[in-house]
Amino acid sequence: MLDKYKEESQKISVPARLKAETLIKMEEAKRKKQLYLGFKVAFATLSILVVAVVSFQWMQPSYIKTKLADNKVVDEVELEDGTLTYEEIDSLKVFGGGITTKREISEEMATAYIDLQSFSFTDYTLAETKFYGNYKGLDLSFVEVQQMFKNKNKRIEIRCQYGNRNITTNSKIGKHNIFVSYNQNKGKIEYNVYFKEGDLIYALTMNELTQKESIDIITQFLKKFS
Amino acid sequence: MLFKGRKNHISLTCEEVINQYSDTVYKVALNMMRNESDAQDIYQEVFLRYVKNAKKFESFEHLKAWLIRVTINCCNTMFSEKNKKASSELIVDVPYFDKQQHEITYYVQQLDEKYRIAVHLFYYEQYSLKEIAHLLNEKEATIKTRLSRARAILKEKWEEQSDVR
Repeated sequence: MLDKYKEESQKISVPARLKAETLIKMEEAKRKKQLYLGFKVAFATLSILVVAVVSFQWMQPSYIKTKLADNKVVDEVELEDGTLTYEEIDSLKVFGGGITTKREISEEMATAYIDLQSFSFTDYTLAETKFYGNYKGLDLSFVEVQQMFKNKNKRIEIRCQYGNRNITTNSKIGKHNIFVSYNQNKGKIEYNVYFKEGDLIYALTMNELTQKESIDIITQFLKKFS
Repeated sequence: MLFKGRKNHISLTCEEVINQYSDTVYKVALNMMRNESDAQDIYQEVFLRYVKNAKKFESFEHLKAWLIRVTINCCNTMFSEKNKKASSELIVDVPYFDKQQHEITYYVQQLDEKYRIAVHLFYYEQYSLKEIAHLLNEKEATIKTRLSRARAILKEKWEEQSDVR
Protein backbone atom coordinates (compact mmCIF):
# COMPACT_ATOMS: atom_id res chain seq x y z
CA MET A 1 0.00 0.00 0.00
CA LEU A 2 2.75 2.46 1.00
CA ASP A 3 4.66 1.77 -2.20
CA LYS A 4 1.93 3.73 -3.86
CA TYR A 5 2.82 6.67 -1.63
CA LYS A 6 6.06 7.20 -3.53
CA GLU A 7 4.24 7.08 -6.79
CA GLU A 8 1.76 9.71 -5.63
CA SER A 9 4.43 11.91 -4.06
CA GLN A 10 6.35 12.00 -7.32
CA LYS A 11 3.45 13.89 -8.84
CA ILE A 12 4.05 16.78 -6.47
CA SER A 13 6.14 19.40 -8.21
CA VAL A 14 7.65 22.63 -7.07
CA PRO A 15 5.95 25.68 -8.64
CA ALA A 16 8.19 27.15 -11.35
CA ARG A 17 7.56 30.66 -10.02
CA LEU A 18 8.82 29.62 -6.59
CA LYS A 19 11.95 28.12 -8.11
CA ALA A 20 12.68 31.26 -10.13
CA GLU A 21 12.06 33.61 -7.21
CA THR A 22 14.24 31.56 -4.91
CA LEU A 23 17.03 31.44 -7.44
CA ILE A 24 16.99 35.25 -7.79
CA LYS A 25 17.07 35.67 -4.01
CA MET A 26 19.92 33.18 -3.72
CA GLU A 27 22.00 34.99 -6.32
CA GLU A 28 21.37 38.30 -4.57
CA ALA A 29 22.35 36.86 -1.18
CA LYS A 30 25.48 35.39 -2.74
CA ARG A 31 26.47 38.75 -4.21
CA LYS A 32 25.94 40.49 -0.87
CA LYS A 33 28.02 37.84 0.88
CA GLN A 34 30.86 38.22 -1.63
CA LEU A 35 30.72 41.99 -1.28
CA TYR A 36 30.89 41.71 2.50
CA LEU A 37 33.82 39.29 2.27
CA GLY A 38 35.55 41.66 -0.16
CA PHE A 39 35.17 44.54 2.29
CA LYS A 40 36.49 42.40 5.10
CA VAL A 41 39.58 41.38 3.14
CA ALA A 42 40.20 44.95 1.96
CA PHE A 43 39.88 46.31 5.49
CA ALA A 44 42.24 43.66 6.89
CA THR A 45 44.80 44.33 4.15
CA LEU A 46 44.59 48.07 4.69
CA SER A 47 45.04 47.65 8.46
CA ILE A 48 48.11 45.48 7.97
CA LEU A 49 49.58 47.98 5.50
CA VAL A 50 49.03 50.92 7.86
CA VAL A 51 50.61 49.06 10.78
CA ALA A 52 53.53 48.00 8.59
CA VAL A 53 54.17 51.51 7.28
CA VAL A 54 53.94 53.12 10.72
CA SER A 55 56.19 50.47 12.28
CA PHE A 56 58.70 50.74 9.48
CA GLN A 57 58.88 54.52 9.79
CA TRP A 58 59.14 54.35 13.56
CA MET A 59 62.02 51.91 13.36
CA GLN A 60 64.10 54.10 11.09
CA PRO A 61 67.19 55.55 12.83
CA SER A 62 66.67 58.87 11.06
CA TYR A 63 63.15 59.05 12.48
CA ILE A 64 64.43 58.28 15.98
CA LYS A 65 67.15 60.88 15.72
CA THR A 66 64.66 63.46 14.52
CA LYS A 67 62.49 62.68 17.50
CA LEU A 68 65.47 62.96 19.80
CA ALA A 69 66.55 66.23 18.29
CA ASP A 70 63.06 67.53 19.02
CA ASN A 71 63.39 66.51 22.63
CA LYS A 72 63.32 69.45 24.99
CA VAL A 73 65.98 68.05 27.30
CA VAL A 74 68.51 68.07 24.50
CA ASP A 75 67.45 71.53 23.41
CA GLU A 76 68.03 72.89 26.88
CA VAL A 77 71.72 72.02 26.94
CA GLU A 78 73.71 75.21 27.03
CA LEU A 79 76.59 75.00 24.67
CA GLU A 80 78.94 77.57 26.14
CA ASP A 81 82.58 77.91 25.33
CA GLY A 82 84.56 75.27 27.09
CA THR A 83 81.66 72.82 27.33
CA LEU A 84 80.96 70.19 24.74
CA THR A 85 78.78 70.67 21.72
CA TYR A 86 76.02 68.22 21.02
CA GLU A 87 78.18 66.51 18.41
CA GLU A 88 81.09 66.31 20.80
CA ILE A 89 78.96 64.73 23.48
CA ASP A 90 77.81 62.21 20.93
CA SER A 91 81.36 61.51 19.81
CA LEU A 92 82.44 60.76 23.37
CA LYS A 93 80.71 57.41 23.43
CA VAL A 94 83.13 55.14 25.19
CA PHE A 95 81.65 51.89 24.05
CA GLY A 96 80.24 53.01 20.76
CA GLY A 97 76.89 52.20 19.26
CA GLY A 98 73.52 53.38 20.32
CA ILE A 99 72.24 56.87 20.66
CA THR A 100 73.79 58.81 23.46
CA THR A 101 71.46 61.73 23.90
CA LYS A 102 68.88 60.12 26.18
CA ARG A 103 69.90 58.00 29.12
CA GLU A 104 68.47 55.85 31.79
CA ILE A 105 70.22 56.29 35.08
CA SER A 106 70.96 53.34 37.31
CA GLU A 107 70.35 53.71 41.01
CA GLU A 108 74.02 53.29 41.84
CA MET A 109 74.96 55.88 39.28
CA ALA A 110 72.55 58.40 40.71
CA THR A 111 73.90 57.85 44.21
CA ALA A 112 77.46 58.17 42.99
CA TYR A 113 76.58 61.37 41.23
CA ILE A 114 75.09 62.93 44.37
CA ASP A 115 78.23 62.04 46.30
CA LEU A 116 80.48 63.49 43.65
CA GLN A 117 78.60 66.75 43.82
CA SER A 118 79.81 67.17 47.38
CA PHE A 119 83.26 65.95 46.48
CA SER A 120 85.79 68.52 47.72
CA PHE A 121 87.84 69.14 44.69
CA THR A 122 88.99 72.65 45.33
CA ASP A 123 90.12 73.72 41.89
CA TYR A 124 86.98 72.57 40.17
CA THR A 125 83.47 73.84 40.34
CA LEU A 126 80.48 72.06 39.13
CA ALA A 127 79.73 73.92 35.98
CA GLU A 128 77.12 71.86 34.30
CA THR A 129 75.49 68.57 34.90
CA LYS A 130 73.06 67.09 32.57
CA PHE A 131 71.03 63.95 32.72
CA TYR A 132 69.45 63.15 29.45
CA GLY A 133 66.34 61.60 30.81
CA ASN A 134 64.96 58.15 30.55
CA TYR A 135 65.23 56.14 27.44
CA LYS A 136 62.65 53.45 27.66
CA GLY A 137 60.69 51.98 24.85
CA LEU A 138 63.57 51.80 22.40
CA ASP A 139 65.72 48.74 22.59
CA LEU A 140 69.03 50.34 23.34
CA SER A 141 71.27 48.81 25.95
CA PHE A 142 73.42 51.84 26.42
CA VAL A 143 72.86 53.82 29.60
CA GLU A 144 74.87 56.71 30.68
CA VAL A 145 75.20 59.40 33.21
CA GLN A 146 77.39 62.18 32.18
CA GLN A 147 78.80 64.78 34.45
CA MET A 148 80.95 67.64 33.49
CA PHE A 149 83.08 69.45 36.01
CA LYS A 150 84.29 72.48 34.24
CA ASN A 151 87.28 74.59 34.79
CA LYS A 152 88.54 75.78 31.47
CA ASN A 153 88.92 72.54 29.55
CA LYS A 154 89.00 70.25 32.54
CA ARG A 155 86.16 67.81 32.99
CA ILE A 156 85.20 64.41 34.32
CA GLU A 157 82.80 62.23 32.47
CA ILE A 158 81.23 59.15 33.93
CA ARG A 159 79.31 56.73 31.80
CA CYS A 160 77.98 53.25 32.21
CA GLN A 161 76.72 50.56 29.91
CA TYR A 162 74.80 47.33 30.29
CA GLY A 163 76.37 44.38 28.63
CA ASN A 164 78.64 41.41 28.77
CA ARG A 165 81.69 43.13 27.45
CA ASN A 166 84.88 42.00 29.11
CA ILE A 167 87.17 44.58 30.59
CA THR A 168 90.88 44.02 30.45
CA THR A 169 92.36 45.05 33.77
CA ASN A 170 95.75 46.62 34.27
CA SER A 171 95.34 48.12 37.72
CA LYS A 172 93.46 47.74 40.95
CA ILE A 173 91.85 50.14 43.39
CA GLY A 174 90.60 48.39 46.54
CA LYS A 175 88.85 45.23 45.42
CA HIS A 176 88.06 46.66 41.99
CA ASN A 177 89.91 45.64 38.88
CA ILE A 178 90.18 48.60 36.58
CA PHE A 179 91.59 49.44 33.19
CA VAL A 180 93.35 52.73 32.88
CA SER A 181 94.40 54.26 29.63
CA TYR A 182 96.27 57.48 29.17
CA ASN A 183 96.17 59.75 26.18
CA GLN A 184 98.02 62.87 25.40
CA ASN A 185 96.60 64.80 22.53
CA LYS A 186 97.83 68.21 21.55
CA GLY A 187 99.24 68.75 24.99
CA LYS A 188 96.01 67.74 26.72
CA ILE A 189 96.10 64.77 29.06
CA GLU A 190 93.20 62.37 29.29
CA TYR A 191 92.73 59.44 31.61
CA ASN A 192 90.22 56.75 30.74
CA VAL A 193 89.24 54.33 33.48
CA TYR A 194 86.96 51.35 32.95
CA PHE A 195 85.60 48.92 35.47
CA LYS A 196 82.77 46.48 35.76
CA GLU A 197 80.15 46.25 38.46
CA GLY A 198 77.49 43.62 38.08
CA ASP A 199 76.00 43.99 34.64
CA LEU A 200 77.21 47.53 34.26
CA ILE A 201 80.42 48.72 32.70
CA TYR A 202 81.52 52.12 33.94
CA ALA A 203 83.84 54.47 32.21
CA LEU A 204 85.44 57.58 33.66
CA THR A 205 87.14 60.05 31.40
CA MET A 206 89.17 62.75 33.04
CA ASN A 207 90.72 65.57 31.15
CA GLU A 208 93.46 67.90 32.29
CA LEU A 209 93.71 66.30 35.73
CA THR A 210 96.85 65.12 37.41
CA GLN A 211 97.23 61.44 38.06
CA LYS A 212 96.67 62.01 41.78
CA GLU A 213 93.50 64.00 41.16
CA SER A 214 92.23 61.27 38.86
CA ILE A 215 92.93 58.53 41.35
CA ASP A 216 91.20 60.53 44.10
CA ILE A 217 88.07 60.83 42.00
CA ILE A 218 88.08 57.19 40.99
CA THR A 219 88.60 56.08 44.58
CA GLN A 220 85.73 58.28 45.72
CA PHE A 221 83.53 56.89 43.03
CA LEU A 222 84.44 53.28 43.73
CA LYS A 223 83.56 53.68 47.39
CA LYS A 224 79.93 53.59 46.32
CA PHE A 225 80.40 50.02 45.14
CA SER A 226 82.37 48.66 48.04
CA MET B 1 28.36 22.05 -13.76
CA LEU B 2 29.33 19.80 -10.93
CA PHE B 3 32.91 19.54 -9.86
CA LYS B 4 34.89 18.49 -6.87
CA GLY B 5 36.57 21.32 -5.00
CA ARG B 6 39.75 21.20 -2.96
CA LYS B 7 39.90 18.90 0.07
CA ASN B 8 37.17 16.77 -1.53
CA HIS B 9 34.47 19.36 -1.02
CA ILE B 10 31.70 19.57 -3.54
CA SER B 11 30.82 22.87 -5.10
CA LEU B 12 27.52 23.67 -6.78
CA THR B 13 26.06 26.80 -8.26
CA CYS B 14 22.76 28.12 -6.91
CA GLU B 15 20.95 26.90 -9.99
CA GLU B 16 22.37 23.40 -9.65
CA VAL B 17 21.33 23.19 -6.01
CA ILE B 18 17.82 24.37 -6.86
CA ASN B 19 17.47 21.94 -9.73
CA GLN B 20 18.79 19.01 -7.78
CA TYR B 21 17.20 19.45 -4.36
CA SER B 22 14.02 21.45 -4.96
CA ASP B 23 11.74 18.43 -4.81
CA THR B 24 13.31 17.03 -1.67
CA VAL B 25 13.09 20.29 0.27
CA TYR B 26 9.64 21.23 -0.94
CA LYS B 27 8.13 17.82 -0.29
CA VAL B 28 9.55 17.55 3.22
CA ALA B 29 8.27 21.06 3.99
CA LEU B 30 4.86 20.33 2.49
CA ASN B 31 4.65 17.03 4.31
CA MET B 32 5.40 18.67 7.63
CA MET B 33 3.43 21.90 7.24
CA ARG B 34 0.48 20.52 5.21
CA ASN B 35 0.20 24.01 3.82
CA GLU B 36 1.56 25.18 0.48
CA SER B 37 2.13 28.75 1.57
CA ASP B 38 4.19 27.75 4.61
CA ALA B 39 6.02 25.12 2.58
CA GLN B 40 6.99 27.76 0.03
CA ASP B 41 8.25 30.12 2.73
CA ILE B 42 10.33 27.36 4.22
CA TYR B 43 11.61 26.33 0.80
CA GLN B 44 13.00 29.85 0.21
CA GLU B 45 14.40 30.09 3.72
CA VAL B 46 16.28 26.79 3.37
CA PHE B 47 17.97 27.74 0.11
CA LEU B 48 18.88 31.20 1.38
CA ARG B 49 20.47 29.57 4.42
CA TYR B 50 22.44 27.38 2.04
CA VAL B 51 23.92 30.50 0.38
CA LYS B 52 24.60 32.31 3.65
CA ASN B 53 26.07 29.24 5.27
CA ALA B 54 29.81 28.81 4.80
CA LYS B 55 29.61 25.07 5.40
CA LYS B 56 31.57 22.78 3.11
CA PHE B 57 29.93 19.57 2.02
CA GLU B 58 31.88 16.39 1.53
CA SER B 59 29.35 14.71 -0.75
CA PHE B 60 25.97 15.20 -2.39
CA GLU B 61 24.45 12.92 0.24
CA HIS B 62 25.90 15.16 2.93
CA LEU B 63 24.37 18.21 1.27
CA LYS B 64 20.99 16.54 0.86
CA ALA B 65 20.94 15.44 4.50
CA TRP B 66 21.89 18.97 5.58
CA LEU B 67 19.08 20.48 3.50
CA ILE B 68 16.54 18.05 4.95
CA ARG B 69 17.78 18.76 8.47
CA VAL B 70 17.50 22.52 7.92
CA THR B 71 14.01 22.07 6.41
CA ILE B 72 12.86 20.12 9.46
CA ASN B 73 14.37 22.76 11.78
CA CYS B 74 12.64 25.57 9.89
CA CYS B 75 9.33 23.71 10.08
CA ASN B 76 9.75 23.17 13.82
CA THR B 77 10.55 26.86 14.26
CA MET B 78 7.43 27.80 12.33
CA PHE B 79 5.36 25.40 14.43
CA SER B 80 6.61 26.94 17.65
CA GLU B 81 6.04 30.48 16.34
CA LYS B 82 2.49 29.54 15.39
CA ASN B 83 1.93 28.06 18.83
CA LYS B 84 3.20 31.22 20.48
CA LYS B 85 0.88 33.38 18.45
CA ALA B 86 -1.97 31.00 19.23
CA SER B 87 -3.50 31.69 15.86
CA SER B 88 -5.91 29.30 14.26
CA GLU B 89 -4.54 27.56 11.20
CA LEU B 90 -5.91 28.67 7.88
CA ILE B 91 -7.13 25.55 6.15
CA VAL B 92 -6.22 25.67 2.50
CA ASP B 93 -6.91 22.77 0.23
CA VAL B 94 -3.72 21.27 -1.09
CA PRO B 95 -4.43 19.61 -4.44
CA TYR B 96 -1.91 16.87 -3.77
CA PHE B 97 -3.75 15.83 -0.66
CA ASP B 98 -6.99 15.26 -2.50
CA LYS B 99 -8.54 12.00 -1.38
CA GLN B 100 -9.86 11.02 -4.78
CA GLN B 101 -6.67 11.43 -6.72
CA HIS B 102 -3.99 10.82 -4.08
CA GLU B 103 -5.59 8.40 -1.70
CA ILE B 104 -2.51 7.16 0.14
CA THR B 105 -1.05 10.65 0.42
CA TYR B 106 -4.36 11.80 1.84
CA TYR B 107 -4.22 9.16 4.58
CA VAL B 108 -0.55 9.84 5.31
CA GLN B 109 -1.41 13.49 5.78
CA GLN B 110 -3.98 12.52 8.41
CA LEU B 111 -1.19 11.09 10.57
CA ASP B 112 0.58 13.04 13.31
CA GLU B 113 3.56 15.08 12.17
CA LYS B 114 6.10 12.73 13.77
CA TYR B 115 4.65 9.77 11.85
CA ARG B 116 4.26 11.69 8.59
CA ILE B 117 7.89 12.74 8.34
CA ALA B 118 9.13 9.23 9.19
CA VAL B 119 6.90 7.71 6.51
CA HIS B 120 7.98 10.32 3.95
CA LEU B 121 11.70 9.88 4.58
CA PHE B 122 11.41 6.10 4.57
CA TYR B 123 9.07 5.49 1.64
CA TYR B 124 9.76 8.47 -0.58
CA GLU B 125 13.35 9.48 0.15
CA GLN B 126 14.31 5.84 0.74
CA TYR B 127 16.40 6.58 3.81
CA SER B 128 17.25 3.76 6.19
CA LEU B 129 16.05 3.71 9.80
CA LYS B 130 19.52 4.72 10.94
CA GLU B 131 19.67 7.66 8.55
CA ILE B 132 16.21 8.88 9.54
CA ALA B 133 17.16 8.59 13.21
CA HIS B 134 20.22 10.73 12.52
CA LEU B 135 18.22 13.31 10.56
CA LEU B 136 15.54 13.61 13.22
CA ASN B 137 17.90 13.38 16.19
CA GLU B 138 16.04 10.37 17.50
CA LYS B 139 16.94 6.82 18.42
CA GLU B 140 16.68 4.18 15.71
CA ALA B 141 14.21 2.20 17.84
CA THR B 142 11.97 5.26 18.13
CA ILE B 143 11.82 5.62 14.36
CA LYS B 144 11.13 1.91 13.97
CA THR B 145 8.23 2.20 16.43
CA ARG B 146 6.87 5.30 14.69
CA LEU B 147 6.92 3.59 11.30
CA SER B 148 5.28 0.53 12.73
CA ARG B 149 2.51 2.59 14.36
CA ALA B 150 2.07 4.63 11.19
CA ARG B 151 1.64 1.45 9.15
CA ALA B 152 -0.87 0.11 11.66
CA ILE B 153 -2.94 3.32 11.61
CA LEU B 154 -2.85 3.49 7.82
CA LYS B 155 -3.84 -0.17 7.53
CA GLU B 156 -6.74 0.38 9.88
CA LYS B 157 -7.94 3.42 7.91
CA TRP B 158 -7.48 1.62 4.61
CA GLU B 159 -9.56 -1.34 5.81
CA GLU B 160 -12.27 0.98 7.16
CA GLN B 161 -12.40 2.64 3.80
CA SER B 162 -12.56 -0.68 1.99
CA ASP B 163 -15.50 -1.75 4.18
CA VAL B 164 -17.35 1.44 3.33
CA ARG B 165 -16.87 0.68 -0.32
